[in-house]
Amino acid sequence: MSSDRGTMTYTLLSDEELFALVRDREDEQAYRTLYRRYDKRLYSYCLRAMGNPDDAQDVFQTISLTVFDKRRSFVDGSFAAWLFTITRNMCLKALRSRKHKVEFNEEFIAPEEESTHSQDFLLKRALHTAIAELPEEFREALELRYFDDLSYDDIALTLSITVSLAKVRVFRAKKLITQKLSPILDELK
Amino acid sequence: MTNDELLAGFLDRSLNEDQLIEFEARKQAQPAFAQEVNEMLTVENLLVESAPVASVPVDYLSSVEHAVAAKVAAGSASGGILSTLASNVWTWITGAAIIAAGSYFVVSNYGDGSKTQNALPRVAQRAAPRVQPDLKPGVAKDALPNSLVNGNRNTPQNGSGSVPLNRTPISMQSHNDPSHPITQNARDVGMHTVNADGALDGLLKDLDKCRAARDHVQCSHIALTIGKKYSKQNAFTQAEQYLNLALTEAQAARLVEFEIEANGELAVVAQNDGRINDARQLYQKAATLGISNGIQTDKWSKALEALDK
Repeated sequence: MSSDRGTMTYTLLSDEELFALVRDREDEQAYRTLYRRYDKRLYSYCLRAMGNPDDAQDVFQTISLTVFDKRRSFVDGSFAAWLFTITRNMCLKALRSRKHKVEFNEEFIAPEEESTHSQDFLLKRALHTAIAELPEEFREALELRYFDDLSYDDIALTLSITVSLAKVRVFRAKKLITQKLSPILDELK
Repeated sequence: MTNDELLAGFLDRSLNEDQLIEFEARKQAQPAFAQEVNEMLTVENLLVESAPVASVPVDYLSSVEHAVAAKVAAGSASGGILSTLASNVWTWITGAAIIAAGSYFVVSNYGDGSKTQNALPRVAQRAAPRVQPDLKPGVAKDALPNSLVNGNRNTPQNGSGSVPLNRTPISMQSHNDPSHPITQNARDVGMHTVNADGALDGLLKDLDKCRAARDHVQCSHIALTIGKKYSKQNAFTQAEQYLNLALTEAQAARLVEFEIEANGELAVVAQNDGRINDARQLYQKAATLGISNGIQTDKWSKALEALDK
């Protein structure tokens, strides 16, 4: 399908335009372009949610296939929000069925940081601990904003809440983290 | 506006000029607020810099990409024709008329049925998958569903009809039926709680659905997942059963990545089951398939090396 598109620069197309090509014309090249935009972010999300690479890979693969199978259900709006809604639902479903407890996993910290007990490292470690201790709804909104790089509009759609509530949750999360880190920040001054 | 509202607006860069002036004024007037702003900015920077770094399995992501892209391509090949046909009612009417006319022609010209019978094997041959499942040592042929053994899920065997994979996990099924061939093997490996993973039921249901829909890509993926699960539980017979299904489906869908994965996982099962020669052959098969298709199979090559050592 992609050959008839000649020299079309897929990378210049928006997510929604690419997905429309996938949905309406089963355009393989459009799919590959879109996949590469999101694969690492989506995998990281799955890894955070599932807590181990094996489960993350299982869910990631299921999501990848489901997104194509459900392509007709995406009509308009934000592709990122639609994608993360599917991802979130799949992860929740997998977690429910596996009765898995979500915990912050130290595997996410970059290996080079693990061996460096610098102030910066300690601060980041404290930050991740504080994030893990946040109430679920605050943590989820914060992670979507800072780790998955979603806009407030997309966070709102993904979590089925209003944009203002999404903003409030992210702000409250940051405020709670700041309160927890305040003593450390004082010490480091 | 409250301090929090001003601070939230400042961090989101959504304050207008008047609000920014108000924000600066409060910072000057309230040292505690100024400190809070500084701390929040530090946390903000930390959050931006500290996104968890996950080690991304690049090869794996690439294999999923190829698998789904193959599905997209397959969809474009079949979907185009089907949607064109489905969108035209007259096509259906014309088709029905052609079938009726064809039937009349067959009945009137080959009334004894001998030539009609001769035509059937060709149709059956086309419908059959290109590749028969490769039965591995240790997997009793009668332990596999008929559809797997025959390579054709719709072809009745011995008049018994097709045997779909049961929704009930095989472990439970075999406990209920002591004569079931899998029961013996299940007992041999000490399986008592294989269905502890509730996700298995859902996967088996999904597998039924995709088999009904003849979705080879999805079937291969799901069968592979189920096979791996059983493998982790040391339920070797079941693991091999589903991994063989994954292999067959992957071959039908021409998904080399899944084919490699299925062979590799079958090797793992054989190794864990103490069948070292089988394991060696299967690892070799996975690695060779990878090399001949330009796909990285370090995982299986290394496993083979480790086995030889």
